[in-house]
Amino acid sequence: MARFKDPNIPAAAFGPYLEPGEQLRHWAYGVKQPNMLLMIPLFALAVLPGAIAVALLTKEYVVGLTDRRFIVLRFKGKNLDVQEVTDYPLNSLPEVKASTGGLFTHIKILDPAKPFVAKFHRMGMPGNREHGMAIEAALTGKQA
Amino acid sequence: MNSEKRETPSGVRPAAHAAGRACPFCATPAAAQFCGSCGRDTTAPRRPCGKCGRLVPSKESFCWSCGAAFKSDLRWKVPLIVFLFLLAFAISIGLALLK
Repeated sequence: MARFKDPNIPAAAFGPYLEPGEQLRHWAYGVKQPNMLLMIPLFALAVLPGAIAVALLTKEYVVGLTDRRFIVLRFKGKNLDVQEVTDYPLNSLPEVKASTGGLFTHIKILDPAKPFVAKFHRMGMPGNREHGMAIEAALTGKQA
Repeated sequence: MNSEKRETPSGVRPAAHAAGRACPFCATPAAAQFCGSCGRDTTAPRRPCGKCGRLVPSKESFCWSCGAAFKSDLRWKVPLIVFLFLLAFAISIGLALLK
């Protein structure tokens, strides 16, 4: 079930993108699935091809919270092949909406130039829920 | 199930940048949003070039360092998805005709 059995693997992916002296505090694995209005017709047409299509169109992310920035790495593959890097300085953070339910932590950054939305399943990697909630608390300015 | 929604107090806060921040594209120390050396937006989403490994703004379709072209994954994913649906329909029609 877990995408990463060792949480140090996604943490290591941030190494090349950290600034000198920057400390990675929390990191989590999340996904962004296609729009529900696309997923429902895909599944309605044919279940197995629909499931494959949704898996192909799902984007995978590891997000990291440092002492300065919130960093988003979009990646693919088992070896964490980074496709895109986006960062949001904590001192100029756009509006953030976040929530935690029984299974998922949802984080949505409402930045017109670089919007981000993803959900973080508690089984994504060991400690994913705790890291996700800590990131949520830091981004929304509330205590965990 | 406990669900608690949280939001930041209000919209966008004024931009500020940490001292000592380097431009991710040319490594020049950049204190402002736009690099004084290469002119690029230092906060823009970026991707590593698969050929030379240098960071390139995501909006650019070619690596400015080695000239490699970036191709979207949708170029092969969309045809594959269409093929899978056509295959499923062909199989279901074939099975219906056999009955």
